Amino acid sequence: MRTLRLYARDLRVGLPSVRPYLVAALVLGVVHGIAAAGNCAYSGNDLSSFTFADYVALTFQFANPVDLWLLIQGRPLTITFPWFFSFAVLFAATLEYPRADLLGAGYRGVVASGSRWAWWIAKCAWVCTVAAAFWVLLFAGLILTAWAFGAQASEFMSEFAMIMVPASSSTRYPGMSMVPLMLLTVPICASMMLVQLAVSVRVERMPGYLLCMGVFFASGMVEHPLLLGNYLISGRSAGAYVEGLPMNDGLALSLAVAWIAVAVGGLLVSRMTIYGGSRDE
Amino acid sequence: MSELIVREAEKTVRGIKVLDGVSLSCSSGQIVGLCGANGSGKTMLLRAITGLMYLDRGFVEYDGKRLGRDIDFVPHGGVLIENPAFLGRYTAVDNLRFIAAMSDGVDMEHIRRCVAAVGLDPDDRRRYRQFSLGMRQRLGIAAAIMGRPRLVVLDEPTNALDESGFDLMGRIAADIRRRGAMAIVASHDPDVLRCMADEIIRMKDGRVIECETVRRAGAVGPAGADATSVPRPSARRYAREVPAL
Repeated sequence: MRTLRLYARDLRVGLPSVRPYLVAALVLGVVHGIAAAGNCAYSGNDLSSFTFADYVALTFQFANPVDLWLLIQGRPLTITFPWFFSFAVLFAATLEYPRADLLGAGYRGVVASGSRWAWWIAKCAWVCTVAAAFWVLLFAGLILTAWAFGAQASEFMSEFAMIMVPASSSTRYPGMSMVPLMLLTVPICASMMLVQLAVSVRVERMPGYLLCMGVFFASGMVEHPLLLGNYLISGRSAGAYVEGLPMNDGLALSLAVAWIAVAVGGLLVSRMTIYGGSRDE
Repeated sequence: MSELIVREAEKTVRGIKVLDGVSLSCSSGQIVGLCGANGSGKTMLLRAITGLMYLDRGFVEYDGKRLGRDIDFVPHGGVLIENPAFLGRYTAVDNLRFIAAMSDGVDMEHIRRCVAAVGLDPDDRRRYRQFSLGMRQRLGIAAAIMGRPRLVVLDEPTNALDESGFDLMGRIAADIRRRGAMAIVASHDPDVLRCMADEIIRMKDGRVIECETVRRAGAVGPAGADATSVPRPSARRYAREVPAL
């Protein structure tokens, strides 16, 4: 009950701090949609030939993993920066509030609740809620933009987009679904945000943020099943390509990371000194 | 009958011993004052008493339950530690509503009464960020006494308050005794503690250096005035304007 009360308070009090980021999610969805439409138009095919799934795939596309041999030969390193934007914004959304709350007005709520674990679990739930809300809004903006450009309402990629999206797999079958990737966005991002939360309440905010962005940067550069960001790259997703990373593996890994972050973070919070009253919020 | 016991409290923070063998006890109806200069360990001791900080050695027990082992925090406690610290975009009443939502039995009427009791207007629509320092401090005191807590912890409660703050402290002390609650009050000003506390513990460098028992009948208030004498005109006017707790 006290965890629910703390969570309800977090939803009410923490919302103003994340509202700009949720608005940014919607805007990012629209911007990604316009960029994807531009790619589709540049391909020379009619825009109505593309599907909603194509727009998602183009949004989550990333260059092929780094090939050291090619690098040695002098081939330039390709980094798909737009892929990082959404994650950079999302991870920043939950940087401020939890720590500020603990150092400021929220310490009374912790004392009144009687339980440090209740405070921690409520904050974890709040972080997961923000992650879910962010992706719902981003996909809403993306799908609406795709619809505005005449895309077909289908979860399956078209053969045109299959050619456009970089993929390390040589086996490509048209008609693969982007739903697995879309479904994985929330658990994978939430698990990384829980790691960030555990680091930020104990240390400082930026190390946690840099750690999460570092994992995603490494994911972009290296295709490996233990680097969570790989599951959110369309060219490496088993939903789109037969030899891609299985959705179940991504889900299991993200849940494992989340549990570890919640457990370790909770243990840290349960013993740390709470310097509440240090600042106003 | 509740009892708070602190035994041989020790705590080191970043290589500095902030508490060094501190012991005290407080029971229902009693108010203990902590007096000492800045850095003497008063605030750290208050953090340990409330459960915001756990000790390296020694223990804090409330009704036989040990903090950090049996319970995380003192149950039914009201706390003002360091700065008042509230949500800047909300009014006084709304800020207290957020805190009251964590526990049962605190309704809007009680919240408004607490706000009025510390000299603030419950209908004031100004946001906390527009408050003066004195108003912020008063709201912090209101949050600490809201909900009729069994243990009230106040850290430098008269900071930024005008002379009516002494009267407010006196009324809070009377209310705590009447309810059979207990309080730990820290202040660098011994006059503040003499108008509230039954016992004053002086601290220096994290240690207790002196204990003084304050006799209630002959307690001396500020500026040498007897606490039982007629209050100063300004304080008396303030007492008439503010409803009782």
